[in-house]
Amino acid sequence: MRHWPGLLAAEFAKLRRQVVFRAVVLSLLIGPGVMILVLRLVSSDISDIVVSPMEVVLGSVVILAAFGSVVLASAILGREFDWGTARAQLLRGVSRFDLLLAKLITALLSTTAAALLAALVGVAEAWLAGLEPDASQAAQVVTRTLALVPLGSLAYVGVTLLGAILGRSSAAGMLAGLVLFLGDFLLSTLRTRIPLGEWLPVTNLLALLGGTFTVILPSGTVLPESLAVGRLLLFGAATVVAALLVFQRRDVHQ
Amino acid sequence: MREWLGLVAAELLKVGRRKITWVLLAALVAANALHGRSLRTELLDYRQAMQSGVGRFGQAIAPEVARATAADLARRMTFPDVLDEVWVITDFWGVFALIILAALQSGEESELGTGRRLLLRGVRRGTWPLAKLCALAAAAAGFWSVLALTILPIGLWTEAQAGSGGGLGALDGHVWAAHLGQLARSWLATIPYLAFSVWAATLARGAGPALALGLGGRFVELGSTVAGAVLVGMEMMESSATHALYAVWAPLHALSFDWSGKVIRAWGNPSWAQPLSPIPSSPVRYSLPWPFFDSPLTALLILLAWTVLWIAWAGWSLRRRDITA
Repeated sequence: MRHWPGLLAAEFAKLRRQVVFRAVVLSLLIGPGVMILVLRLVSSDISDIVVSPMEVVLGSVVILAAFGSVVLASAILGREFDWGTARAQLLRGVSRFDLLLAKLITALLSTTAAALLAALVGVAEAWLAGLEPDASQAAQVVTRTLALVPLGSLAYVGVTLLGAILGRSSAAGMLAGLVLFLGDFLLSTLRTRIPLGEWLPVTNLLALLGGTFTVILPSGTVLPESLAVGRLLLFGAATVVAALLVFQRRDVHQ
Repeated sequence: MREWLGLVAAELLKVGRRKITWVLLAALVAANALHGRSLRTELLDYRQAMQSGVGRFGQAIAPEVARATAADLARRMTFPDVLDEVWVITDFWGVFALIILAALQSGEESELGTGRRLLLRGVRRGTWPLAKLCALAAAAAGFWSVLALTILPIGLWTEAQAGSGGGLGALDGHVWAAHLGQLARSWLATIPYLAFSVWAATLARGAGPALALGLGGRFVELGSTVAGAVLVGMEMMESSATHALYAVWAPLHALSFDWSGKVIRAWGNPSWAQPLSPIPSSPVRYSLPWPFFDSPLTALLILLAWTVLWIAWAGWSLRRRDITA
């Protein structure tokens, strides 16, 4: 337990110095602005197109954060394999469990922090663009970002960590995470029911994002919020536990 | 030149020895076969709807519509149309597979530390990305040839499920030539994606970020195509509601790999050429809205310009910066 502050500080310091971290933060900051610009360029009444413009800001932040969490998680763990430093890390006396958990927490916290910043920027941009969000809408975007980003990212980070451990490289982790994210997105937006489709993370995330996004889901898909949260938590926890178990048993050398 | 050809040959050898190369190829063959299977399911659903009047999603459907749709499906499931039908899957998923392969192949030199050893052997930095691109393009040609051949048994199997058609006997010299032309054009449209992945891996000094950029970029391109189906239709109807958005989106999309690729694959007859006349025999033909073009030569020049840009940028980056990750 006494390793923890140092372990987390080291992980954050390493991540902060990676170019991909800056790239993820930048793409998150740009995302809501692009969506607001798209809404402003449509000259008809926005309420004809979206239930609430602020849901679009929230959605762009949460979905980009899920993508960003894959990139960050693969960089955080995968690079240790690429550079051959995973073994050196373990030689420091840190248990594999602690090491992986520190990396998981770093990925989730850094994604959430970047998403929070993006949500605040998005609210400011919406206000500047004349969409006139009131205080309660702005607060809702911020609080929902804080709740949905770690919840939604958990599954993607878990699968990315699992991929990086199995393939012992950042590329394998990135591939696993992106295959889940892109495949999941394609399947969830097919508007056709597929077996076990209700367990897909994007389906549950869209259900939690509000009326603007639920229209993308297959007709007749009724997902109460508590059920969507439960499924996301279960999916995420299962992937993280699998990653922990596999990490305990496998060699860390390429 | 000999040294450079040796480099291309070595890259090809590495591509062939990768497990993921064969996994991706097998996945593409499986996706083609699955498409044949899903066509059969759709056909059976519509044949049933001819009797029951209930569609595959529980919707009411007129028997004439069900009959026409079933006949259209049966046509698409028999030779020669089944070749185009199944090839769509290769065009869609094959690009993803090639981006994955290109990112891994180009990023590994930095990650495994073998880039430095290559330079010690006297390989010139500027020629390296071009050698990677040529090897990947050759590998893509191999992929496409295998998939073009496997379409034949998949097509026969699909046709047998439709219960009609003349098999390979329906293919004359003209159809074979058209299939080969389609194969070549489709392959040509993949080259800028390969160049982009080589550029991304070279700049990021690793496969991971290149995968994110390549796959993410392709995903954005597909999203833009979906949005375009609405925006182009609105523009053709001279709607002012989306004109400002169209004015920003259209030039960007017209310059994308996707649009030029579409023009080349359809050889001057891209799908948006008749956005308001979905029936092929419709006498009303609409010209493309500005700035979209349907000239294959323009499309080839744009794709060539993109390819040269990415490879030149990658070569410049290798000369200017250290090669380690």
